[in-house]
Amino acid sequence: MNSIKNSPDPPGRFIPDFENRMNKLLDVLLKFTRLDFSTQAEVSSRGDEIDAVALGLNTLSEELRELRLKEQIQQEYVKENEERLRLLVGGVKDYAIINLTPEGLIESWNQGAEKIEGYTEQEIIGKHFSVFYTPEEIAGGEPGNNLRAALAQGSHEGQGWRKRKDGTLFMADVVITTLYDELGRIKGYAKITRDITQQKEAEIKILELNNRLWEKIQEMELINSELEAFTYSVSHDLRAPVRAIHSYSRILYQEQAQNWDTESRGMIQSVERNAQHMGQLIDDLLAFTRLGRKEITRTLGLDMTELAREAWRSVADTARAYPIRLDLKILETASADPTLIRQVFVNLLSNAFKYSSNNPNAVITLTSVKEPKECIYCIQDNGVGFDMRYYNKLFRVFQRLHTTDQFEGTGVGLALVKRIITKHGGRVWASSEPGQGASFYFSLPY
Amino acid sequence: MNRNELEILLIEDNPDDAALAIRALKKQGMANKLIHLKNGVEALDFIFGSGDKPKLTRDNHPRVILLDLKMPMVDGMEVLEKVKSDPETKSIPVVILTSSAEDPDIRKCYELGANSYIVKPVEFDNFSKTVIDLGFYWMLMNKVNK
Repeated sequence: MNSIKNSPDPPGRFIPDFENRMNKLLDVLLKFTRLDFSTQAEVSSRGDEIDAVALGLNTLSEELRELRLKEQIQQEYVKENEERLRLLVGGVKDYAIINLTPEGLIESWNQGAEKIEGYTEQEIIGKHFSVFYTPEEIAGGEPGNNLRAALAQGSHEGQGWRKRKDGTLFMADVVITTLYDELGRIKGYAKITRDITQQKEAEIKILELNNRLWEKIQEMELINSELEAFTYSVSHDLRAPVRAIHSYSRILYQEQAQNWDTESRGMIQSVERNAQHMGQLIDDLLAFTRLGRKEITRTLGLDMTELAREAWRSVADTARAYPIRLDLKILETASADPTLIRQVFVNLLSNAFKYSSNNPNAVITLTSVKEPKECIYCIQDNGVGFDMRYYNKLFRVFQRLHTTDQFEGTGVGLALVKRIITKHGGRVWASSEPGQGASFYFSLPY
Repeated sequence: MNRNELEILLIEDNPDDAALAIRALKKQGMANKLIHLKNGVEALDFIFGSGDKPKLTRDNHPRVILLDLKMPMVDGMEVLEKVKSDPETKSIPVVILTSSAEDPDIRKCYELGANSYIVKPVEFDNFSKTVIDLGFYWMLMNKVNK
């Protein structure tokens, strides 16, 4: 400015006007330096160099004004965002989100921090963040180690017991992230803490429950093996006396009974028959328990028709006395254990056989239906049937709906059928009316 | 009885099972040359000798041993193991008698060298038939082998 004022005078006729105009331009420029672009430079009608400068200044000021406006908008936007973020972080209740200086002093505090750690903002700002650590961890240099780890790797995550204001401990999941400014210098740290005490307790509880479950399983396995030993001992120890009873009564009957009266002969035969029945009970019980241990081995596309035919042959062989007709339709194939399903057919067919033996026109019909998720097989007879009132006992072990004088049996057959089918993921059911025959159904999923 | 003539050695601790087996064999005239030993201890003494009694040898032994598994003190498995690991006695056919096909020891018996096993049936007729078939089978087999 001075340099212009003190410069050698230009030609006389320009001087007063020139200086005046230059000063005005300088004012405009001065305002520029204060970021004030509101004043327009005056343009005379002379169209000389000064006017050219003034016009240039006006264009410049306009551009600068626009630029300034944009910058202000941007700043406001940033400020707004910062405020929004501050409010957001401040309002987070489940996470303690705080800022630390590079030295570890607490710079900011949110509601979550207050809730989790127990301090109010006024109490904690400016304190060192090691107040959250237990004395042992402080002694071990843990706070500093965590910051160094965050610095080295960008962020550091860890879990550990932390101390609240009231001295109580909580299990914390902590992430410390290093913050840098625009120039890459460390600005501080953001520290996010979550109280995972409940989660941890739940984990411990689950672990405990798992352990307890495991113990129970082992207990059950022990019981199971004891049961197996028991079954074996039952089979061994019960069979021996039954064998003796049966054998001696048989010998007596064969060798002595011709000298006895009818009643005595009947009695010794009763002894024999009962011993035989008991032997059968023991064997059936064993078969039933054995099934509990047996794994099923599925055959795909199992020919159920053939299996049923085989089963029928073995049933008809043992009870040839009755003329009973089998009406065997072509059955749907299944994915099942052939040995076990054969047993199912044998049991159901021999039942049908047994309970139709009084009917001179007995027919047993075997059919199947394919449903969306399973095949249903039906064994129908026109025998004596059963009373649906006792249906709930039908498939239970050692439960019978007929007396032994009516029909022989131990009450294991249907229980065995149910066990086999259930093991295959299928169902069993039945329907009947006394004197009207019975229908037994089982389903096998495919 | 002269040991040379011995045909069947029955090792069975249940007196009824033993009596019934002997009875069945007797009916077929097969029990004349049978010795019944009432437990594992007696069996070991008889087979391997004790006091003044000599042990069985390769040329002097029964045609078949019928051996019950479950016996007090020395059980059938132990007797089997000893018989099958002694060169003098290991060629004697041993048939295991058991009350149950569920017996977990059956497999082990085969591993130890048992020649066969039978489950004692509950019914007397079956029981006699099994014992007799068995006696015949092994006595005939053994004759052929000798």
